[in-house]
Amino acid sequence: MDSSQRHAIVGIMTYTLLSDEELFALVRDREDEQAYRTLYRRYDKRLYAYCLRALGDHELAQDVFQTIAMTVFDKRRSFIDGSFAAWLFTITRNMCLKAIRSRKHNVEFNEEYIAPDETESHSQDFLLKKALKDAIESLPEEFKEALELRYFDDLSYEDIAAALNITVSLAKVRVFRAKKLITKKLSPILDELR
Amino acid sequence: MTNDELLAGYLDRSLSEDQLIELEARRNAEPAFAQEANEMLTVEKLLVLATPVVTPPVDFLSSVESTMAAKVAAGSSAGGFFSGLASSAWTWIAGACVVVVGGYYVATLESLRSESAQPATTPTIISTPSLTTPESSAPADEITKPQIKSNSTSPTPTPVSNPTKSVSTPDPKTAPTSVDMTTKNSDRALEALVKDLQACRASGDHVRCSQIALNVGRAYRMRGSINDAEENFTLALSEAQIARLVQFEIEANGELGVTAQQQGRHSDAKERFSQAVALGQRNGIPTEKWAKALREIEK
Repeated sequence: MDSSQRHAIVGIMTYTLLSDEELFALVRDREDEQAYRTLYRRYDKRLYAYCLRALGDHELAQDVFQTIAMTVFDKRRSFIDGSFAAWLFTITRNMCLKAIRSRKHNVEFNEEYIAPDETESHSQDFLLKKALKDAIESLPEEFKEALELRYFDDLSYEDIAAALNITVSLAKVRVFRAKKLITKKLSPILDELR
Repeated sequence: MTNDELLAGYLDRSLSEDQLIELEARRNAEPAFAQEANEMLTVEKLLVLATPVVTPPVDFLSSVESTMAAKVAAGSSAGGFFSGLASSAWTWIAGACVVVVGGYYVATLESLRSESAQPATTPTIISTPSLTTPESSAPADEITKPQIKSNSTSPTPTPVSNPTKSVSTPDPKTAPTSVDMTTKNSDRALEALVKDLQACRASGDHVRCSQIALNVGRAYRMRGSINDAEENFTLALSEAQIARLVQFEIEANGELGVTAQQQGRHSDAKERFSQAVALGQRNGIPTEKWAKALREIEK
């Protein structure tokens, strides 16, 4: 490994240690390309998964994803403080809602996007997963959204609250109620499995 | 604390030691609560494992990254303000309006002059193609959106195209800035890709390297730099082989076939296409594009 390669790796490692907000400040104030790339790679797959979940098809998800990438860059000056993740997911959510409204195309989450899992061949697991999926689908929209942000997008309650424009305690309540409703639906199956 | 509050805290792992003792006490005292707590704990575990596994289109995400990174880098250059102006739809619309108003003014003067000279004249036609295109009325964010979407089902990475889409129909005579800007952006995009490839090689990520090298190769070929293209496709192939990424191996072989064909090395091209097709057949991956290229070269 020559010195330039070593230098590049050390540079990447330094960026990796920075928080989202520090990285974004570098992008905003210094137009730092490496900071942008580091931040992008932290969120690209999660954001894409969110878009796909919300919109139900890859083509539309790609359209919206591109728009989000542009919007984040164009609006970089408007992000002053707070959580970057919350700001990002607020933009993402708004863009997805806009796309859903404009195309009137709210497709339910499609099973084909879930990669085949070996454990699914086991009938009990399969039944449980299927029941869980159905239970999530049947949740009221505001509960479902909060739950998915928590478990699928791995956001903190503070970030969920900011993204949904609600209080932190309401975010907690929604996630808990969602789990409670799911438990209620799954209770007979869990009983059977016991 | 209510049972629900205790349960919520328990599931979020936010209970204090005292609260945990309280929870245990209630679980022992109330069998219904104990059952609920157990069931919710099971659901919690299921939820953690239930995150849908989405296979992201890596080539698409990588293309967006490169385009946007080039945009970020371009923003730091001295011409950032002007390029910002140039990429704004409103600037283009305002420019088009100036052209139309100016043209109308000149035409009116001309017609007044000719009217005074000869009363019967044919009407003057002012050509304003840029204002009649539907794109000119689109919002700014749609106009500047990078057109880099690729086919999600195919592993074929699409070369980065120009991130700024001009509003008016490009006419080399009337809108030279638009053409220059596009070239400049595509230069930057290629530079960013090459930089990305260097960083990637340093990190030893063979999957990503293969993918970027394919993009770089295609970008070079689009510019007519066949040797550079070939070099990058060869790199993409070796990286794909190391990473055991058959899909990229097929693509790299196919692309090498195309470059060989472009250089008049038909037997090489045939061999590359054959390899791409054979790999596809062995692994159940569709290779219609390369099979077609093979059929054509065999003719």
